[in-house]
Amino acid sequence: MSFDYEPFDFLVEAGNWAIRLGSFLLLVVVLACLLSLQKHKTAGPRLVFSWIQRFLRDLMQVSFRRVGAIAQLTFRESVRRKALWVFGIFALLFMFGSWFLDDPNNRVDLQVKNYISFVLTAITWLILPVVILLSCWGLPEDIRNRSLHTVVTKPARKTEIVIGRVVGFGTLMTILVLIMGVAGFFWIDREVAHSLNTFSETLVEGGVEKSVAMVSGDDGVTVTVTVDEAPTVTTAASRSALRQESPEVYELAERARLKALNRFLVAKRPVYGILSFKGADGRPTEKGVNTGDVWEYRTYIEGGNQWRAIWDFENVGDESGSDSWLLESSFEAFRTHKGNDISKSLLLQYSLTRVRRRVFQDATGRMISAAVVRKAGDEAFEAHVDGQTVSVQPVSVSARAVEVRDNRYVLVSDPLVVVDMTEELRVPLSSFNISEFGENVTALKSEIDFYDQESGESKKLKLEDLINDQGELRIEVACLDSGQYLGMARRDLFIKLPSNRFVVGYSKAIFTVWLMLVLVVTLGVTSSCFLKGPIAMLLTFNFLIVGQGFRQFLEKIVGGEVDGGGPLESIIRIVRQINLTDDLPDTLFYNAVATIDEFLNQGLFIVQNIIPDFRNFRVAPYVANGFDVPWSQALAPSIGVTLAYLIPCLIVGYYSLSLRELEHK
Amino acid sequence: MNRLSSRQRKIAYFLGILLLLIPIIMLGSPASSADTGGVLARMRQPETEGQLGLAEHNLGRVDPTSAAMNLVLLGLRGVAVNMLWMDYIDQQKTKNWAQMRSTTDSITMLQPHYLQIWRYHGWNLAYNVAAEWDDVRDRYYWIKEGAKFIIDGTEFNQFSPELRYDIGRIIGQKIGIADEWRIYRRYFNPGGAQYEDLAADEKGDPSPENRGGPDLKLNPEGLDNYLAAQRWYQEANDLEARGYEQHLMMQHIFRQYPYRCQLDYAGTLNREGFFGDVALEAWRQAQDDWITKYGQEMFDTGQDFKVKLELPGEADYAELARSQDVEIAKLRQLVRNFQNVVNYRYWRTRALSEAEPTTAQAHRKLFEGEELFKENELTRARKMLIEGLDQLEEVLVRYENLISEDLTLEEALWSLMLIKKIDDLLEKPPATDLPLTGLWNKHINDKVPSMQFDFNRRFGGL
Repeated sequence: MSFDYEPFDFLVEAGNWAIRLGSFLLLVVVLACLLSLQKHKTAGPRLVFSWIQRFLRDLMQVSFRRVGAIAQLTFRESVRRKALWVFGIFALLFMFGSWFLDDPNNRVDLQVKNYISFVLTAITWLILPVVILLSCWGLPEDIRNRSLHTVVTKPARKTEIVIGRVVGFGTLMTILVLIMGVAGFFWIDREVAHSLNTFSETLVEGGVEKSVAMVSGDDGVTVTVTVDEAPTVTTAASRSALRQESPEVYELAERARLKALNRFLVAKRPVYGILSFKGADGRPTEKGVNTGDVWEYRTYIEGGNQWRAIWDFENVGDESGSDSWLLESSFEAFRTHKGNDISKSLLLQYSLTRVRRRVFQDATGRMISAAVVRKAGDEAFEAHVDGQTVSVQPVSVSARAVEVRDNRYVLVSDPLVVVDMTEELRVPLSSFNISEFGENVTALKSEIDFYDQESGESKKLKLEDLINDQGELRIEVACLDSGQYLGMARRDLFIKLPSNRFVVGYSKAIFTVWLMLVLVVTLGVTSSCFLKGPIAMLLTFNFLIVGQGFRQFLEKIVGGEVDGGGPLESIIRIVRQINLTDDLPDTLFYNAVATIDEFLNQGLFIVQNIIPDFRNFRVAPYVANGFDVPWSQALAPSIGVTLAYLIPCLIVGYYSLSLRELEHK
Repeated sequence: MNRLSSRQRKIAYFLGILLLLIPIIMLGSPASSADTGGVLARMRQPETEGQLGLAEHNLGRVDPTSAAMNLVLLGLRGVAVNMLWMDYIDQQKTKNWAQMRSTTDSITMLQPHYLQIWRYHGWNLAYNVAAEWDDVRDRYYWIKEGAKFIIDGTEFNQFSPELRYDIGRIIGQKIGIADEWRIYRRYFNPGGAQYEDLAADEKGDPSPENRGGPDLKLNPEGLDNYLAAQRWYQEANDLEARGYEQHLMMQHIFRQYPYRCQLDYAGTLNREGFFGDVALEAWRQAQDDWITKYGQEMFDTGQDFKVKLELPGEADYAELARSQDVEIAKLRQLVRNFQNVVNYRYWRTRALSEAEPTTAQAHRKLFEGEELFKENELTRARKMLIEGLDQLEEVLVRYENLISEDLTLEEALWSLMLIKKIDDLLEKPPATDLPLTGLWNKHINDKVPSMQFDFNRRFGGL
């Protein structure tokens, strides 16, 4: 499962937004001035600026009391229109949802993902039609019934009407999301607990480690408690019978059950590293081996030679802050042969290393490639540059500043500068068999015992000694089975911080759903300010569908990555049955078609930039896979996108209402 | 121009409606406990009552959830299924197994009577998804999922021989022939007599809920995988015999599988080093099934006459030809063709020979000889192998056909290679009086080199 999104820098994006919006508004004002010049001569621009002033005055004089009143009216109107009936469908779905999802043969770890995805999808797609219908039909209906006159004839401002509508529908939607979210949470908890018939957990009681395994089914309950490798088996006809017959065992089993439940329903907080590779010759390489998998999310390292996947974790000292860290991985195996022991999964090994990354600078501060630097003394270096030998000083650089190109570590900012990479310390950890598509958790104690291959002795080392001067820890992963491959992606290995409770991750996911619905309400109300109900609904729905499902396709078309040309060329190819990869004849007609297509593609560029990217609200994979919803990759972009559309929508809504003939039905 | 008034027209319409209602009631009135209903209701009666069996419940169980889903979709079932298929392909590509499995259920929920969907997904789970996993327990889990999935399909399609065949194929061939077959078989049937000496943690279904026993949802009777598969193949044959068509293969190929299962079961017991009475009895049963049951079945040739595969003597050919008024030469040619397709004569000879104690002893000695070789008991191993080859030669004299069959040939050549290897290790001169040396010389340029390569890879060069 992949959910690899780019981090979102809130401030940078806000700056970009301000520049784009400002430029767009400036363009509109200039165009309006030019048009007004034609009609009103020199008085035109003054009129335009008076309109801007009017909007700003309107905005400054917004009364929260009046906004509240309009919101209240909107809310009541929505309830009158039977919006809350959606709860009926919701209740039906959740009453019978398990019919569609329950599979007693399925594994709980897989089934949990289904439950969580189902709840988040159900909440989103149940409320969406309601809010689209209400927000798009509200104003046009009021205009048609002329009931809007009772509002506009009051001292209510146009901005207040727009804001009031958004707040009113938003309040209703918030109530729906809250109630469904809470009900969904308890539903997930109950369903997972219901599916948890078989589990095995280790409990510590008074310093004694007890392994508790429970198997329950139609044929009864079996609880095996193992202390010091001595198992005690208790059986009963059912869980209630177990409670009566062996209350102590029952209590122990229930505690283990709760622990197992928390293991499946959890919000893990990962710290991800930067991934690079070493090839079979031990030299750095950008990617691993492609084993023929059509999904290129992972690349593979070969076992039994020098292939390594390398993770550099930044700021590890600050991030963890505890005595022992947990490393969790989820790799994929690819076998070229079944191997000697067919029943064993592949063997892998972590090695912790401390590396020093250095570039060199001459006296003028110019970066000098490590490839031309040589030692001139214990701590002195010199380089032969432009026919001259100059003295250079080493400068330490971080992992983020370095990348692999042409089998060398080079600076990201200047790929011609080779970075000197020296391994100072290496601690190989014990090897282990992987659990594919599952969790492989390794504890890193603050003091590590290891076998030093060079000296042939067992040694101890503090974990902090492995962190370099940039606060980074490097972990190398090797596959030990010769001829076998292990697939790696950046998110397949991470340092696991103490997990949050499931409710935290789930709440964030619900919050993101709410943000998305706020955006839909805002778009719906705005479009209803200048369109009639059905058209406004169609427009909002299109925004949603294109922004969510066709965004990637749109980006490809605009970026020119789609074979077969633009719309006209595509039509011609379909009608004339010309293959996508065949070149069209170099004639005047086809050149004209290409030019028109280019122009149409520019239109799509505008569409791409106007339609919100709803993919930012897709956080269900995080929660379903047991991760917390991270701020920078998920929450920040969704908040950013929602906020970004509020002000432009308010401006569009205000001017649309101002210009709209409210008498016109 | 219409001279009827509005009222007259309405009365005419009303009468027209009444008239049309009469055939509608006759055709469509539903059946009740007291009444057989209209024509359509009678046509929906099960086929066993001489009707067409058009009702959905005649195909199999009708799931209210599935029916409700189809109603809710308002005729957009095809669109929904297409979208689910796209999701499914994407989920499989991105190895999102949990949701892929769930999507599979949704697709079948919308199209519960579409056989190919059950067949494809069952096969995909058991063969493709299982292969994606590294741990042998995970692979076994997905193979079971595939079989269980199609078993669910049989509830909705109670008259499909094809689904039964697919279940048999997964339980029999997938579990029994995969590289991990030894492990899978121990998982499937931990109660097998051949596993008595194994520790509890080396056998039994790896899923904890099965408590070290077989998976009761798949193997409720605790049978060997081939015998469990045999039940499903037999069900497929029974349905096929009742007239429910299968479109997979020729009839005589399709109908051999229950009997082949018994042969495979007996052969696999030997491969596992189990040569006791249970194995001998299994071979006797296999012989009986192959000759007196499968061999006696009549198959249509498409040329206005039928053939059966068990025709031991010239008189049997003559009798069958006469009873159907067909030329004996033509009959003989078609019987040979049919026999060749399923390798009937080989399996017949094999079953006959293996059911003899001498053959069992030969196999046992050759098996134990190799085991002793692995334990470095070279002298005892050589003695055991020679004895085994002597007995095998004795069997081959009686059943000449076996000499040309791969399994027997490979067993003999492999044992000869072991003896030559032992002689080499013991620094003895090459023996020239070994049993079945003629067989070795006959295949010195074809079989021997390739087998020698495999042998050297496993035990080191000669």
